[in-house]
This record gives sequence, C-alpha cells and structure tokens, in this order.
Amino acid sequence: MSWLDIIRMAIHNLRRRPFRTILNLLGIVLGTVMVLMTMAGSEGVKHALHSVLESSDFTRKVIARRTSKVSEEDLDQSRWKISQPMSAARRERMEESLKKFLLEEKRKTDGRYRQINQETLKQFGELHNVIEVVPQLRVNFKLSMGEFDQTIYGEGVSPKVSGLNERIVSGEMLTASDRNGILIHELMAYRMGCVTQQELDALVGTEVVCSFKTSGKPNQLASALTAIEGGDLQKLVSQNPLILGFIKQLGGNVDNLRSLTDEQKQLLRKSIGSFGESDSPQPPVVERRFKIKGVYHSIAEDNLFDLFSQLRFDSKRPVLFHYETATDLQVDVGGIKEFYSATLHVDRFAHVKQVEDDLGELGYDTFSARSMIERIDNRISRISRVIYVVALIILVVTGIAISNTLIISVMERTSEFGIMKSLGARDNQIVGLMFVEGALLGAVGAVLATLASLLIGMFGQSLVRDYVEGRVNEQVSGEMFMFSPWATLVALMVSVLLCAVASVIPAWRAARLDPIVAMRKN
Amino acid sequence: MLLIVEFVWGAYRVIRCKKVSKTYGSALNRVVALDQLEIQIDSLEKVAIVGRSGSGKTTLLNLLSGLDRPTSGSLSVNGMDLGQLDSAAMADYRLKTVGVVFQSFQLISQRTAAQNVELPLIIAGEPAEVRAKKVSQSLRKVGLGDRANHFPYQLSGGEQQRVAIARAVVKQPRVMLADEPTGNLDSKTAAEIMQLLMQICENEALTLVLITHDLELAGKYTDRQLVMDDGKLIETKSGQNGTVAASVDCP
Repeated sequence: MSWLDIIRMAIHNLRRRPFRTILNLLGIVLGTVMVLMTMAGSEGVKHALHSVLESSDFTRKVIARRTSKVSEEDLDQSRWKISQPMSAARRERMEESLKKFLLEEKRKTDGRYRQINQETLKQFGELHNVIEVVPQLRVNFKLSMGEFDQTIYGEGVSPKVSGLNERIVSGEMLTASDRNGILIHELMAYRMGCVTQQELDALVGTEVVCSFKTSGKPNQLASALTAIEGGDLQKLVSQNPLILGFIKQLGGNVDNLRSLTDEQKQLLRKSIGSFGESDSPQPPVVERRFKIKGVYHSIAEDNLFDLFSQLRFDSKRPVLFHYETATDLQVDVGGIKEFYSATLHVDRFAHVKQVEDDLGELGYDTFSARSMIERIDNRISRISRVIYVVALIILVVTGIAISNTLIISVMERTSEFGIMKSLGARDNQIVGLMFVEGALLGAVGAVLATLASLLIGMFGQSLVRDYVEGRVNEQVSGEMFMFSPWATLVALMVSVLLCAVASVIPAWRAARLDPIVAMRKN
Repeated sequence: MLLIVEFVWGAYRVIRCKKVSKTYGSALNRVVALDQLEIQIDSLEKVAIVGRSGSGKTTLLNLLSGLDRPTSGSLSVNGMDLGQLDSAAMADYRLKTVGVVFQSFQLISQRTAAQNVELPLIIAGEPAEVRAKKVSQSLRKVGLGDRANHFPYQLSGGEQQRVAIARAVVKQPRVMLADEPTGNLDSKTAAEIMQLLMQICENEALTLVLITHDLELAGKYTDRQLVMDDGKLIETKSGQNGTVAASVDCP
C-alpha cells in the first residue's frame, strides 16, 4: 500500500465521519490559535511598544545623579567583620547586612560626593553616542507681569531634545538660540487669567520680569543642609514648613540658647540669616526680562509616560528656560556651582545601555527608561509564558480527546480493519493508516488555525491598536500581531506531531485486532 | 521414477492437510475444533466441506484462509506451509493466494462497490490506473458494471455477494474459499450466486473450497464433498450429484 493511497484512505475515512472530524478539528484549531495568537500578540505588542518608546525622546534620555564617593573600601573591616561563633551562612548574611548599614550611615555623614559641575558636564558630553547634556537646573524667582506677582520655580530645558514640541498649546517651542524666551505651563497661564485660546494666544509674546536672588556670603547652615539634601536647599525648606518655622523661630531667639557661646550664637545668627528675620542685610536681587514664547501642557495622567515621572515636565515647575540661560541663572546669579543631576541625550535607544555603562564606570548612578522597557518586555514575556502553558494544556487535552475519539473510531471500525486484514493488509499498514489519519487531523487543524489566526489578527489589529494608542497617547505604527514564519512553523509542527502521537495507541490497537473476531462484529 | 511422480502429483495438489488439529481454550475448558484432519485437494478441483454446525468446517476455512493457524499438524496451500509463515508472509498469502467469500459478505459500508473491490489492489500497492481497469473488469464479470458507485446499503443481498465475489477474484488468487456464500440469500438468488461462483472458478481456473451445511447444494455444484463431524473427516463423496460415495479417514 503506497503512502499516497494511505493518505487517500485516511482522507476518505475522515470525510465519512464529518461530525467527529469537525469536533476534533475544533479542539486542534482552538489550541493552535491560542499558541499562535499568543506568540504573534506578544511579539506585536512588544514591537509596537518599542517602536513608540524608542522613537520618543524619553527613552533616549539617561539621568546621571550625583553619587557618594564612599565605597566599601572606606569601611573599617573591624566594624563589620563578625568574630563571634555562629554558622557560616548566618555570618555571611550578618556581615553583608552590617556592611550595607555602615555604608549607608557613612554616606549620610561623609559628605564626599562625585559632584556634577561644568567640568563633569563636559566629560559627559564627550561620551560616545551622547548628543547633548542638560544639567538639572531648578531656580526659584519672582515672576511679575502686570498685577501677577508670584514666587515660582523654573527649570532648564533643551530646545533640541526636550520632547515638548508636541505639547505646545499656544505659541511655539524655544529655539536653540532663543536665550530670552520662556515657556509657561497652561495651569500658570490659567492662574494668570488666561482661560480661552484667544487669551492664551494673546499671552504669547508678552514680556515678564523675573527677579532672582543673588548668592550671599557663604552660609554654613545652608551648606550643611545642601549637603544633606543634595544641593536643593530651597526645595527642602519650602517643602518642610516645620523646618522653615523652626529656622524663623530660632532667628529671633538665638540669645536664649544658653548652652552656646557668644561666638557660636554669632555664627548661628549669620547662618540662618537668609531665612530668619535677622538683622543681616538681604542679598541683592537681579532682574531679568523674558518673553513668553509659548504655553505647554503636561502629559495626560493615564499616559504610559507617567512611568517616566523623572523625565517629564509638569505644573510643579511651570516656567521653562533654555537650559543655558538656566545655567547662567543658577551658577552666576544663584552661586550654585554644582548640579544634583544631568540628563544625557543619546542618539539611539540601542546605545542607552552603553552610555549607562560608561557613566557607571565614571562612578555615577543612572536612571533611564531602558530598565522600565526591559521590565515591560519581561512582563509581556511572563504573561506570554503563562498563556503558552494554558495553550499547550489545551493542545495536550485536545490530543487526549483525539486519541479517545480515534480509539472509539477503531472500535467502530473493528470489522473494517478485520476485513482489511483478511484481504492481506499488514499490521504496519493498519498502523500507518491510523497514524496518517491523526496527522492529517493535526495538519488540517493547524492550517485552519493559521488562517483563523491571520483573520483574527487582521480584525483584532485595530482594536489592539486603539487600546495601545489610548495607553501611550501616541500613534502606533506596524503590526499588532507579528506572525514569525519560524514560530508559526513550529506551532504547526507541534500540532501535527501531537495528533500523530495521539493516534499511536489507537493505531496499535487496530493493528492487534484478530481479524476473525473483528469480522464477527460486522 | 516414483519421486518424479510424487513431485508432479504434489504440485498438482493445491491443498495438503496432514494431521491438522486446532484446539481452543485452556487446559480446563479445552475445545478440539479439528482433530488430526487429513485432506488433500487438487488444483482446479471444486470441493465442498459439509457438516452440521460445530463440525469444524469454519475452523478449517479460517486455517485455509490464513486467518488462523493450526495448533499442530501441517497445512500447506500452493506449496506454502501456513504454520511456518510469519505475520507478514501470512498477510502476503491472504493477499495473493486465496480469495474468500463470506456468508455475511464482509463489505465495508463506508465504501462503494468499486472501492470495496479496489481494496485488495490498494493493499497490494497496484497503480491507480491498473486498479481502475481491474475493478471495472471484475464488476463486469459479476454483472455489476453499472452499480460501481453504489454503497452496500444501496444493493440487494445478492448484489452485495456479487461485490464480495468480485473483490475475491480481482486479486487473481489460486484458491477460492467460500464460507456459506448463499446462507443469507433466498433460493433463487442463491442458485444465481452459485452459478456465478462456478462460472468464475471455471473461467479464472480457480480451485474452489465451498463450506456449506447443505449437502444437496454441495452435491450439485462440486466435484467432491468432504463430510465433517466433531473436527474429523468422516466421509468423502464424489461426483456432481453426490451419488458416488467413498468412506475415508473415518475414525
């Protein structure tokens, strides 16, 4: 019996029992579609997210932070080495915990930092694949425009790579040479009385006066607080009313601190001079005039970019300056020579890891969206794995069901196999026939499953696209379901193999039938 | 000289049954279906195995058709010792040497008349065009050239048996075995089937072994009638009318 004849006979047998064949096919199609759609969906969503994220400025940014210079080598071994008797495992755990604790303590009190200053920024700028380095600049000042007069915070941005272009509601984005322009947040514009679009448009081009405090004499308390909070003294004090209240109260009552010497009282009075109602002279104020170039908005709250909270601009620092202007204001006017962090703009997302490694070698901690994207990828992969397992269970259950129905089929066709054997069919031909029937079911099921998957993919494309676009507030290009030819081939092979394996037991039973007994059932 | 005569005579004998026994069951409930049976059937001979139910005639047919093996003794058909054949060789024997017609037709209900007749040719691995030609010829021989695409349930009992005869003949066997071929048919149809069977055996030069309980039918259509009882051959009758009788091998 040739294989072609066996296949023809198997097709004939499957066609003569349409209901059973359809039920078997349904099981195979369901399992295979789940496997295919999981593979295609996870690949597609991953790819779509990457295409959105990697094309965004957010994902090409790396934040380098000022870090403590204190390392394990600075710790005295005798402080963390444990000599008392205990198990080796516990000693290892305890020493590790102790080392971490001591390191943390030392970092808090040591005050030695790898600073980020103009020199460091230059060093960062020379790293491979870095196109721009923007220091984190936070300046506070009083903004006056007509009757509006308020102390607020500002921040420096790079016109080239800020990612703000899409978020201008009125006016336009700052240009690279625009040192005297500012952008203001739409909430601030609202507080300034601009409600309608016309009013916002009218605001653009208006000149505002910004008053900055210049640096005073060296302030020891300010330095100490700066050291603790990483340089942002104003933020520390403004966000902690208790500290502000304490300093103000202390300012008037230094004399009552009996434990201090006169010299110490004098030093303390000088230190808190800038905060308290002391007699110390106020530092001079510098006024600068800026033109409002545009009004911008925050990213919506349900946006995926919320994940990158450290990389966005929002209403907390409503005025944005060109970062070089902000550097002048912070360094020259404010007298703060060092920055808490700097944002490095990398040319391509693929180079972000390299830049992070380079910064790590220089001794700086880094933050970027890369780890976030890796986490998203891992999560998608984890979910996919679970779905794969479910799909495989469905396929295996289908395989068992197919095996079961093929056994029933053998029982039903007992006389048929008996007749075939009486006519001279060999055992291996009967096995081959059943085996091919199973494999055919698997192959037809797999082909149908592929077609069904492609159709579902086609119709589901827009649904998933809408969902993803809704989540990331970005237009997503490319396919949401990516059917890799190899993965599809593997899924098809698994389906065929599973059904063929499922037919082994029924085939063996059919071949073992005694033809005399079998024919009696006819 | 004697050796030459023995050789020629041996070749002339298609079926040789020497002290063949067949038992079923275990030691406690042992049933002896055939007991030291001795039969010899010559080429082109038409022999009937006659006996009442339980006499062992169907067991003998199962052994001759290669569906079962003797417990002891030697059974050779067309020079092949069936007791010595392995499973594959036995399948080949069933395919090429014997054609069997059963009382209950044994047609596959899911296949048409032509597809049923084609089945042994498919098993033999014949090419499709050869198969089509042979199937068509066989169906014409049994007078069913126009019913090729009918399923068994669309055919009468006589027609179904004709399909079974066509299926047995299509593989061009040496021996035709017929187990009560008219048992399920009315007398008129039975006579037609028997005439067809005889005609085909004549035309195709087949040796016929007919299993029946009907001594009259056996006497009418066969050259020799072997009467069995309790697994033994008790009587041999010769002649088309069964009038000449010779008792042989009686215990």
